[in-house]
Amino acid sequence: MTTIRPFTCDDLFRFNNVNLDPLTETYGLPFYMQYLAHWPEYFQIAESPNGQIMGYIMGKAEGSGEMWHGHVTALTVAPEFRRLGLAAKLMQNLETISEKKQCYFVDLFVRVSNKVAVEMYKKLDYSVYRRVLEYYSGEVDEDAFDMRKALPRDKDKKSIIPLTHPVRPEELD
Amino acid sequence: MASRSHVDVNERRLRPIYDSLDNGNNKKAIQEAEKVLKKQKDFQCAKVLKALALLRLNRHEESSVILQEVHAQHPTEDSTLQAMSICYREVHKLDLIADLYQNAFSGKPDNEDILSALFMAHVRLGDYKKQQQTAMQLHKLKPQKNPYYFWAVMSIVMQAHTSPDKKLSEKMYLPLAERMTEKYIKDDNIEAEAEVMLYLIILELLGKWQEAVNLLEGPLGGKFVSEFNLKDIKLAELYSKLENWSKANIIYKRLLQYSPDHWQYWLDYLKSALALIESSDQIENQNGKDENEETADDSVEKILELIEELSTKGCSPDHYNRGPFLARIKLISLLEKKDPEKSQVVGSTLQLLIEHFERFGDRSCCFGDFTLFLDQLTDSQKLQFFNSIKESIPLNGKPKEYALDVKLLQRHLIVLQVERYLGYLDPLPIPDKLTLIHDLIDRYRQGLQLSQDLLITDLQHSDNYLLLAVHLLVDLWRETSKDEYIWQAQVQLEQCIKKSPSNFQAKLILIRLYCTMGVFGPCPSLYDSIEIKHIMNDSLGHIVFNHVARLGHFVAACAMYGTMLRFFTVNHKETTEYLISSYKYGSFSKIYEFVKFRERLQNSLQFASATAERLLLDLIFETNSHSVTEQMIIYMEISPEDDKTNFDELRDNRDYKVMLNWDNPSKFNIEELQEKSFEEEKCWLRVRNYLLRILAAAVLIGQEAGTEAKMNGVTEIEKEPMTQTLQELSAKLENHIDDCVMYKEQYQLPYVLQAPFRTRLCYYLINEHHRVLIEMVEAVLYTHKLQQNNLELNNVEEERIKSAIPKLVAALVNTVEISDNGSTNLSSSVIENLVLCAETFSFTIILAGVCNRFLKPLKIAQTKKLKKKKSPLTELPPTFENFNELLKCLEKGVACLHLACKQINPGYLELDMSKLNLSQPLTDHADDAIYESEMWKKVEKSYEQAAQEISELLHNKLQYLHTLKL
Repeated sequence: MTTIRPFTCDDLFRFNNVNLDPLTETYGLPFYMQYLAHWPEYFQIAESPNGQIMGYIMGKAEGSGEMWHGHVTALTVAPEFRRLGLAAKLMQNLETISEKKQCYFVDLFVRVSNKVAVEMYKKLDYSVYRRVLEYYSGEVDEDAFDMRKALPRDKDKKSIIPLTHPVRPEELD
Repeated sequence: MASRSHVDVNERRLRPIYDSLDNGNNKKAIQEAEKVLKKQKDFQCAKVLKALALLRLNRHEESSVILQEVHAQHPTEDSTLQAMSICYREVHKLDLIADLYQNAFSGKPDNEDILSALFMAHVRLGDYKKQQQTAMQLHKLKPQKNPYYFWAVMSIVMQAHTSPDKKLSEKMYLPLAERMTEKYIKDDNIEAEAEVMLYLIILELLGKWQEAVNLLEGPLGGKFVSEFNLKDIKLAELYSKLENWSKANIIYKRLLQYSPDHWQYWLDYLKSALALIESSDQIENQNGKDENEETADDSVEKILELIEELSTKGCSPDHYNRGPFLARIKLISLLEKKDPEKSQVVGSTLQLLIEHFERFGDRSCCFGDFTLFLDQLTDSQKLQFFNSIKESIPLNGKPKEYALDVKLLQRHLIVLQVERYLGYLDPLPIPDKLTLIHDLIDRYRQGLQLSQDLLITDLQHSDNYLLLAVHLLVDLWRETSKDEYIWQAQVQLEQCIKKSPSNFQAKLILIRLYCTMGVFGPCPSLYDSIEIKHIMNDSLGHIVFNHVARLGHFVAACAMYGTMLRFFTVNHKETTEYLISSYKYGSFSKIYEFVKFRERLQNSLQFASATAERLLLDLIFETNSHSVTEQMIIYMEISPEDDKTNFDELRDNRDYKVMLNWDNPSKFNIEELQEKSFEEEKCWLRVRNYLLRILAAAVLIGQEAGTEAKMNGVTEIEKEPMTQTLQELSAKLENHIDDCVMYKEQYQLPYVLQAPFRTRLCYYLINEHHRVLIEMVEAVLYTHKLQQNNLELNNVEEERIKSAIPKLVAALVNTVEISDNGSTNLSSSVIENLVLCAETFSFTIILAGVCNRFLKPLKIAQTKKLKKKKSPLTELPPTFENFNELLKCLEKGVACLHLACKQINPGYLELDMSKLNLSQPLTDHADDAIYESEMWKKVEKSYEQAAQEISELLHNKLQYLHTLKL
């Protein structure tokens, strides 16, 4: 049981219980504000009845022609609120918004090592479109899966036909 | 054509400069610019790019000369204007950008780009009136472009938001914004969703709920497509405000059908339904309802129907939504007051909570659900509830049983957390608590076996057993004041984070406990390992901020304050750009939010405190002679006349909810404690700001004294003399200290792990550090007078220098109690007092340095006179001798502190702390002993570090003192 509502600047002061998790990146303020200014409808937060922040999703719509799509920039749920189906709910909302915006598909990047997340996205009907080599930089660079789900506008599901070869980050469009 | 090729040539010439700037090669950029300027000496853009390169090389003076020159020429060419804007943005002179484009606009009044840039310049400055005017000019220039018109409307809304006169907002600004938008609606000129959204914002600000409903339900309502369910959510809110409960109820029901777990919808749905029940009791059901029309739920039965319907909606078999389930309990509590009989029909809270545990007890969020309702039970019901859930899990048998699957373990943890929440642990005698602690640690260790498929980024399932044990250890410490419990807790936590390196909860507690024990050394690496960055500097920086300097880790303090301050200054510059984006993308609802957010950051307590502490630390740590101090004061640009902190606007952005807390708020209310702490922090900040201003004023007087002599009697009349400012500041500090007495006992308050730590104010007050400063200010003023009036001695003042101040100094030294037995010196209050003394000595020495500024020339003059007269009878006045005695006394004090430093340095004392038996191993587990000895090594190292850093500081102060002798 959850209250999902638009993310506001004030939430940045209180999302620590979510962001201190090592897989959740804390970005500089410009990053959040850019999303809030440009795609406020895509930035949603989930709050528990006693006022704790449970998780949030950030996304955007971009691309032209048949590449017009919704993108999940960040999706995170605090450890104690996992396995409640919250991520699925937040994803579902993002897909609905993308559908309304006439997008062809939704995509996201995920660390190949993050098996829990990859499995979850598969359950939500996302499939691996391509592998992006060394997309995540760190002590050891890590590959990403670019996962996609076709929306009704892409009737033939052209957008999700997997690429046969991995790509490098600089080859991304 | 000719002009086009001219542009191309220019572009080609500028290219290498741009490239060098992009590559960060600023020196090369200057060379390239100079090359171009040789050929074309009036090439404005090349000049500005050179200025930009100079700026980035920190050659501000040269850069600003060029910028001023070009600025005065009123440039209108796009690339020049852009480059100049970048320069001004980097030095944060936003008003000059507006001026720049205003001038350009005068030169090219029909240029849309320039005018649009002028609008943005006003946005950066938050000048809403000028924004409005510029937007209207843009509208006149391009009447077919809707956004410009709505920029003007939004600028008016911002004036309404920020006008100090609320009447003006309601009667003038908002109606004007409303009329302007209505004009476009009437003329059918509305294009974008953003425009309708702005209209809705205006109507809501005006409180015109019905008009807002009409808008949403009318043809323009179809424009709201971006935000998910926005139309329904807004309509339901508006109907609630209009108290049209049946409409509100129908919409909330619809929203719940889509999101059966949405808690806020349930609360609003119940509110509307109950309002309907009340009203239908009075007016019988409205007649003549359409069969097909949706009807509102106006009876408890209908509510229960919806709850039943939604409890499994969208769930896999045997799964339930928590929302409807808790809505039922909420309904009981809402009905209890109004209609107790009805509430019993719905069910019993006790029974439903027990059922809730059956269904959801294996999820960690279950505890949070319970906290909403547990306090509504009677004491006996609470006990019944607790016994029931406790007995429902099969872990109560003998011999001891362990939870060996994750779900059972989770259930057990919830039971233990509830036990704590209900306060059942509090009355236990100490041995029972210890038994419990052992049991929890044992269960924690057993639970580690469940970790097979965990990733390094996951937490161990049983971690919370350990955290519960740690909370109990802290309880024991609070009860008994025996430090060994804290040392033991630290040993356990160190082990926990080895097994669960991403358990930030354990690290937060560990940082807190180390700091409580006066050990800062291990904290920076813990702090870094949870990656505190960006906005967390503001919301979480407090976990180290209050301790790092207090515990004598000055080098770390410099770095930490620096990072915090950088966050605030950089973001203040950068975030303006997103206000501009909001206008561009028409995200009007975000504009006021962004403005408020920027203010909240700018007025942050953390920002103000870090600023003051950083400046004070530099004055303490970096000065070893008075000339260094003088340079530093000039560089710091402290204005003694006014306080830079706006105390009325100060905001407390610290997050104290991040740490797990299973205590009942009636035991420790963290929010209340935070509010109290905020008041205390403000008091301490005031002390620090007064100190800074006093030091600045005194040092400036000292400097003036040097120059005035040269200027020979040319006095400034228009400004209040600095001596008067200093006198006032000293009086204000004294008054303020009187206002702070309530914080004297702060260190004795019960210790709450999750609540704010006290400030240093209590020890400052107890040991009366302010007194020596206030006396020293008098000495400064007196010696200044001596110099001005050529030695008019005053016995009372001489007495002050001769004995009053030395007595206070000696008293301060006594506050650092050092015993011969090394181990007893290892206590946090010893370090804290030592640091406070070292600070006060530093300030005293700076003020002595100011006295020296007056006395030294006097003495030289006097000595000369003496020599001329060659009279054996005339003597030097006693001031010089008294002053030198004061210096000696300070020197002696510094030497004592130095000795105290050695006494707290385990390395110097050749102490092996692990052999001191400061704590007993908590369990007989082999790891405990290893981790314990590692922990003591960390503690030793931390004390050593503090002792060395304080020693170094004192060493600098001795040097400083030596330069002051007359």
